[in-house]
Amino acid sequence: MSPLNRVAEVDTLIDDGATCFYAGVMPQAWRDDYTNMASPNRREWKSSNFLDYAAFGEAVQKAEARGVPVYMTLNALYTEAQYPMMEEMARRAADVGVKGFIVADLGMFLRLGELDLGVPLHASTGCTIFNKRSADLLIRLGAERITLPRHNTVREICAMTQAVAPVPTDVFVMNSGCKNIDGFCTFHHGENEVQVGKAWDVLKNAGADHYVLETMRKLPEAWTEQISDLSLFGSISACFLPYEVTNVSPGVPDDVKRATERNIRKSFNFFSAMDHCGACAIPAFKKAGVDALKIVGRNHPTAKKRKDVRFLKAVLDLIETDDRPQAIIEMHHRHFGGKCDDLCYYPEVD
Amino acid sequence: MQRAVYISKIETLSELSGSYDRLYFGTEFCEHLLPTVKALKRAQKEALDRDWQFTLVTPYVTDAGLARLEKLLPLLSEGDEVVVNDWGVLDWLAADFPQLTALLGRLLTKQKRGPRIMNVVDIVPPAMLSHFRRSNVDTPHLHNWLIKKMNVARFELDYPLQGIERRADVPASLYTPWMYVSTTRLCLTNHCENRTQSLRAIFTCDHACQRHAFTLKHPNMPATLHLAGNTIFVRRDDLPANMEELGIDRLVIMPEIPI
Repeated sequence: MSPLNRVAEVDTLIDDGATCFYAGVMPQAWRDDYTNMASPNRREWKSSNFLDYAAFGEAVQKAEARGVPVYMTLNALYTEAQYPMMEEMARRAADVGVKGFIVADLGMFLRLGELDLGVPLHASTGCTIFNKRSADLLIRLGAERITLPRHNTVREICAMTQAVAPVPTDVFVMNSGCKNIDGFCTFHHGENEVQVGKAWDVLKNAGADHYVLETMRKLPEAWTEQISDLSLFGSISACFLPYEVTNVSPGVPDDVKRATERNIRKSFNFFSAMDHCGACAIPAFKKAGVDALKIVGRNHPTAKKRKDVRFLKAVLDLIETDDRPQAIIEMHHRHFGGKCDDLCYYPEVD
Repeated sequence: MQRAVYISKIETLSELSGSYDRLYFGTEFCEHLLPTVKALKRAQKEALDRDWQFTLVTPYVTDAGLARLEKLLPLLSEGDEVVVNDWGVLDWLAADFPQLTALLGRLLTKQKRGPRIMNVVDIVPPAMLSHFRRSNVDTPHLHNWLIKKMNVARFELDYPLQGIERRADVPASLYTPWMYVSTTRLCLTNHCENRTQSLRAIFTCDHACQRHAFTLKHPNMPATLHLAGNTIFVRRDDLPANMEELGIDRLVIMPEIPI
């Protein structure tokens, strides 16, 4: 399941191996009232979204012509004044043929169920499904597909997938391995775009953050650490800010205090935006019956999206004959260069 | 105005002084910190002795956490409250424990708490600011479902830096002074004494949260962040001037970060 934000990407990504897409729309009228920060779909940058319905509809129909479904992200948390615009968005998407609404807000679940637009509802990762009972509730509310949070272990994801079958599950396997739980994190994104305006949008549209990270991946660790400490990059997100960290617990010996502060400090910098990968878990996911492997990164440049889709396609081909983690890791190294041990989505350490 | 005191450690109980109507006991953020049966019973007894009413606070849970809750929920008495931070637990309470009163916890009332809103608060449109002061639990469909189908009796709220707007027909509690901002199962504090990589992972819990807490400061972040265990908080000591108008009739006072 590939991210999508440009009409021109549709055919290319299908040729590379994408078998379904997800995408969002952030129209001008929405931005006028709510800005990008209160995005209608949890991607708070213009560059992550289609900016008008015409382009979105064209992309959906182009994909449909090749038999590839597009799911629409309606996965923010909405307040009452936003409902008329959201309902219009859902209706227009249904009209152009989207094949699913990815929804996080239980109120929106209920409303879309009532509107009965003929478009299946998917439970977003924002639904915070960490147990079977939560999954059952969402299914009763109308979820026909469940995206499991990346903050589950492989074992938990596999058990949940088997427990909710035949309802299909999606799991994240590439990029943006954010440490915070999507549905519970209330840090804001997109603030720079509000403050800086067009210039920021140009940089995001050009994929500048991605290319900086790609360069960092190839640099010696000491350089990477220094670049990571630059607030210019860190200010994209609260999680990337290079904080001054102080252990405030009483009675902690100085050496332990320093070690703990260093460890916490390392968890907050631009390097933590680096693209994580969970491909080693794909054999287990496949065996458990996980239906779709989800790639994060709607704002990524097409070249990056293509690389990710081709990599996952290659892994799926590989594991037909060789599902050893080492074989998958070697394939990752060949595709992306550099080590992946610090960038693992699902390190099984529990 | 009701006054409740909220603690997560049973040891804190003996240090409590002050006048309260109710004891909140438990955890919102981590199933590893759920109280034992013994601790829950002690907290219940202490509340009874002090003539406080009782509220069990529960976190989001995996199936393993649900199994732990299975041992705790039957110990509660009719009329006791349960703060719920997991949709599955809410559904379970509505189905199997109708004698208990469900409160929608801070993780599910979905306020927007990120402090960096204050960096743009003067330049955004009024509709956006109003949106950021509100919660989706006040939208008609969700509101009705929560109240009528899931028997939610109260909403548990923080006081975000940008303020609150809400419909006041269901009572709300206001937590003070520790506003939660974010939480994760990839606990950053866990193994912080000896970790050598910034690995994002669900490690076996070593309860480092009971030994270490941190402040995080940066010029771009308008408030000091407090990292305790798997959760980030901001301290806010003041209270809204219009609590009655907002339907807030209970203060939930935290003498320490509830981790």
